[in-house]
Amino acid sequence: MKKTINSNSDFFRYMRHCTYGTPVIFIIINVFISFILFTISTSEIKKDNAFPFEEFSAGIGFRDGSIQQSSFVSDTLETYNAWAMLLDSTGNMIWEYGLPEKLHKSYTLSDIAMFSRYPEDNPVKLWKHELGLLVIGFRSGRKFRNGPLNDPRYFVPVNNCIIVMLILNFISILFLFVQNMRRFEKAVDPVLNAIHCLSLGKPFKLEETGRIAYINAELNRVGEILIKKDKSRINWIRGVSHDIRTPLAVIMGYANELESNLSLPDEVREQAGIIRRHGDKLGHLISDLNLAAKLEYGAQSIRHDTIVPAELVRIVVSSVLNAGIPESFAVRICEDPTAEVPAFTGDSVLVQRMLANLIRNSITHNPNGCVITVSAGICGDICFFEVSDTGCGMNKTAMERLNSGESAFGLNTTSESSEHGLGLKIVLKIVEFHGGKAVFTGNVPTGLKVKIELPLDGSRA
Amino acid sequence: MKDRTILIADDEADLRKLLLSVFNRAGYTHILTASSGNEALKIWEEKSPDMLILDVMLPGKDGFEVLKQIRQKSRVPVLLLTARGESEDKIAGFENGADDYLVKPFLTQELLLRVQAILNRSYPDKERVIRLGETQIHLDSSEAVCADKTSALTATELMILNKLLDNEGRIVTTGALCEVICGKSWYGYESTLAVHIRHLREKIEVNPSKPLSLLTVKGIGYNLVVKGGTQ
Repeated sequence: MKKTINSNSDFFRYMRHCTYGTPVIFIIINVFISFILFTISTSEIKKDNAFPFEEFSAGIGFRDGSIQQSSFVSDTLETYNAWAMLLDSTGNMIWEYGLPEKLHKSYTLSDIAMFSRYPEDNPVKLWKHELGLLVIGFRSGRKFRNGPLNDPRYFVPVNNCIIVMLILNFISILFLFVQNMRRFEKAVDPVLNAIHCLSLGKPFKLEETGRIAYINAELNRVGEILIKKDKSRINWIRGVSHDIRTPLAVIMGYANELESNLSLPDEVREQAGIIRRHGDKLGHLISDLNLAAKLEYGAQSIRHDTIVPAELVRIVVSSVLNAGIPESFAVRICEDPTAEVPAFTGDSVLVQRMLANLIRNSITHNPNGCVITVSAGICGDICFFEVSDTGCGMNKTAMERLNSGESAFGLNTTSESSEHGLGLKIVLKIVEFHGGKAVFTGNVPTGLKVKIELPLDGSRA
Repeated sequence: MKDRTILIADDEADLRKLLLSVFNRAGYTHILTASSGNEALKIWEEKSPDMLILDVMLPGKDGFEVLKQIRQKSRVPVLLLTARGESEDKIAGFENGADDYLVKPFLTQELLLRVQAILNRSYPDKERVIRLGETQIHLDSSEAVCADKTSALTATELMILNKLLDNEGRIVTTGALCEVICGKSWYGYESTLAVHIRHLREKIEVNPSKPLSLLTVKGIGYNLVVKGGTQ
């Protein structure tokens, strides 16, 4: 069972162990495998390097009435820089080859026992021969030909070992690398998706298992907290707007009553009318605030209604006219036969809101009045809506910011004091919701023109 | 219609007072008020009003609960008047059986028009006569009397007229009128509507080419101006 990591220190301790431990394990395995490969590949050479006692012994025997050695015996003694003698059962030497002059011709049992005490660089080996005891002595400084450092026969297997180990190491490293990458991707991919969801305010749930379970658990917790916060904000705004609406209804109602009361002086009725209109603005502001919060915090779901763009424009304009606008304003519709078909899929409530906000924006920011023209049409796979006015327009900086996708909050858009704020922000959000784009330009000769392009197929939203 | 009894239930005293004043000024003589859901139910059981205007956020039983209880026994028309303007709340209102839903703040004229439209639908007056200037329209017999000439109104013309009367003085879009006549799939019916409007004008306008009552709002729809009032 894998050990669960519960903290940053655990995680980095694990990483350190992996980082330091892996090369150590590699070295140990390399040494072990190298030793095995070397042993296997040089076993024949070692066999070759061992003194051939049996063959040597067989090369000494009676020939032509005397004990003679074969050429193998003499060659072997040359190779090993050794001498040899044969002792009979009484200890007398009956044959020798290359015997040093200082050595005796006969030996007692105790002399033979002393043979094992010769120093390492002058070893003496004994071998039983049919004619007696074969004694082989190796001289010091003899050629040592059975080591890997100076025996050329070792070079090939050593090279082969190195090549094999390099290949094995390369394959191992590659395998480890690929495995680690896959594990890393498997662990990190959900985390990256979760972070992306966090940035969009969308909910997510990570599996709290594996090496980074504690990181996943923390992300889950953060996600829940953020979503709860967004919901709290939306609920708070909704609650406040509910609380404001009833008093506002009372204010507007009485203002309307006073405005309609013919027995009152004109000035009083006009003042009542002003109160009613501002009450109406407050009402729209509350609705906009609610919608802005829902759009901002992802609580607004989008509908897929089949819309006749021309009729949608008519509904919005008739609502504006039925609610009453000052006489200095005129709202017109520019008809386009392409817009008379149910070809657009989108959220009809949001799109109506978008157009209403644009019309109200023109009314709010042109106190001296203007002509507002609204149109809709279909071009290719785009449904466009256009709202233009003949008012004082918008300054270039504000238009550039709106066209760049930035909010118009806090901008001074005319030389007086009015600012485009929440209403246009909602327009841009609704356009974004539908996967469309909005372009703000100056109208000719004066005024503002807003062109909205939305994809006909609302499934892009 | 103005002698119908209307019950207004809202916990805000000033709003009740306002609505009382608005309805009285509009000619309604029997207006009852309640400040809670339980009180509204009690008055409904005792006085059997002809229509209820309910706030949703009432103390005790809320407007939805009151509506559900009423609907178990009666089809009395109910208009929900509320600060809860979310689409889910509207859908819940209609699913519970509300006839209409008006979000605060509202224009008092709009409230009056909606109440009138609901009462006209729920209690159609057999003797109801609409005066459009010099023309009288007898809705019960589907006839229009204009300059001593009596013309029969077709079913389609009557539907168009009723829709315009429900929204008297307000613009009704072309699509809304087409939908009344032929349902959701009204696209392409606009030119046929124009023909019906022309025939209607020939029956109700003194000078059909210069209409004074059934007005065209260019590019948007139509508006019925009732100068003589209704009886």
